[in-house]
Amino acid sequence: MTLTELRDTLASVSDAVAVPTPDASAFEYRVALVRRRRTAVRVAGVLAAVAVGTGVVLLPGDDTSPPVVTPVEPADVVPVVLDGELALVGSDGATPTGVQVSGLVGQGENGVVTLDPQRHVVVVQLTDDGIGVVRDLSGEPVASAAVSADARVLVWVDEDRGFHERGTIDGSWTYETASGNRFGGVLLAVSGPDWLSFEEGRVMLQRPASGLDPMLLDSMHGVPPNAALAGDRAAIVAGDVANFYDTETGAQTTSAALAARGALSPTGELWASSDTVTDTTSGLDRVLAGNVRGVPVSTWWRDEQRYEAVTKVDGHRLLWDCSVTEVRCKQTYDDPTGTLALAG
Amino acid sequence: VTGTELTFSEFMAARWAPLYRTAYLLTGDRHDAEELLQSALAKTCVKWSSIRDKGAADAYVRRAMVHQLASRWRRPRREIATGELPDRGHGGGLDVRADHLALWDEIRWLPPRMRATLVLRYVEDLTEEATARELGVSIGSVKSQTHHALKRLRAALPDLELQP
Repeated sequence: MTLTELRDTLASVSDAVAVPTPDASAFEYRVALVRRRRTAVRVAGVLAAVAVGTGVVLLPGDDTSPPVVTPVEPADVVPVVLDGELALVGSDGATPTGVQVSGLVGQGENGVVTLDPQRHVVVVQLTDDGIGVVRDLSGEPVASAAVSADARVLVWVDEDRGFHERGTIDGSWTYETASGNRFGGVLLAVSGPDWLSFEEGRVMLQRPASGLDPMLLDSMHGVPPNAALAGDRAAIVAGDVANFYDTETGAQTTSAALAARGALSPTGELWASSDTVTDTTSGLDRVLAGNVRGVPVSTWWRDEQRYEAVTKVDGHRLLWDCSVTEVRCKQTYDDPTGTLALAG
Repeated sequence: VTGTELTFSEFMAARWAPLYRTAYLLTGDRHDAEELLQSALAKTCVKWSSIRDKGAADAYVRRAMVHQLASRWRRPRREIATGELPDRGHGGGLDVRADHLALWDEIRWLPPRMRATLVLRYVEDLTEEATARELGVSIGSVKSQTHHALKRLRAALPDLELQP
């Protein structure tokens, strides 16, 4: 049997198979199903659920705690979780730090926000030659935590529904800007003083610091969706579709299919998943060069034009460094353990 | 099919048949092929307004089909729809030459990923690199899947002599 014979066989089978007439009603049903799934349930990926309650009372923050770390320009490394440990991936591969973590929440100018194995919020300072101060910020297990896309705000909800917001002037989130109790619903994402919550089947944009009423963005039944907030965009993921909303008006702007494992850029203008970048206003896609392969796992933006993507291939996980301006991705690490994870 | 003014209905009407044929080769089953194609087209329909190059929508649908199949073959083994083809020995009841029918009968019994690799490589004429990208696997895996698929087919049909 030659390859030509194989091609001929496949071609003759393709020609011979009887093509059915499209079932219009079945197709309409499927389209409706896909549309419903865009607003349907999915298991929240990064942020854990918190107990449902009512209201958040913002109190004056304690801004007296002095910063405990001195800003240092960190090396050009990507913080990742590798086999349960914080590791820094640079040009010479992955360097373990010895800090045990259960996940990464986000990264600021010179600190990485992690959840330790007991789910405490722990900030690990990055220095030009590795890590510096490691500080337990929460001092207790948390139900959920989030860092804004611009890395200037860190929030977490403790197991008693207490709400804690930390601001940053040096990347270390050492002073509290707001706190409250009886946080209602599930914290999904934060951006500046605003955040997204999931409460009684509704995804709400909360804007207490602006004196504005909560805004309903989407409704769905079941468990909370993955969501992101940055600039004037909110992203809500359902199924394999990411839907984008204008946070000024609450109107949906567009969506991206097959893009569930993506992330919103710090300005909210772009959504990246694997090698595909979607404009959150027009919905136009751009595929970056570099032959990114594998099933998308996660995405994290380093800055407004550069992001990291993890894909999985045959039990390995691959790390890709992608530049929107250069329209190109480059593989930077191959993890044979298959445990590599990014922030967010 | 090209043109920026192309509507989804026009696209579906024009491309249903060729896409169904691809779906059939990917699944080896008529019912599964229709299910797979309808599902991929529904996703495409919802996304239609944001697909910039409507002329490349074929590739978009094909990718959606392959992704859906990929998610199916990544499920636990017991959920993979192999070994359930109802009419082995009849090549799916197609009216093709006997030697083609015999070979197709064996192709249908390949694991889904192997079959998809052959379809992408030898029907869609994708390179090994492009096939790897479509399947979400390494190039080495494509080479390996192709090698083992051909080995299986040759082992199953050692005496097969295709007509000229």
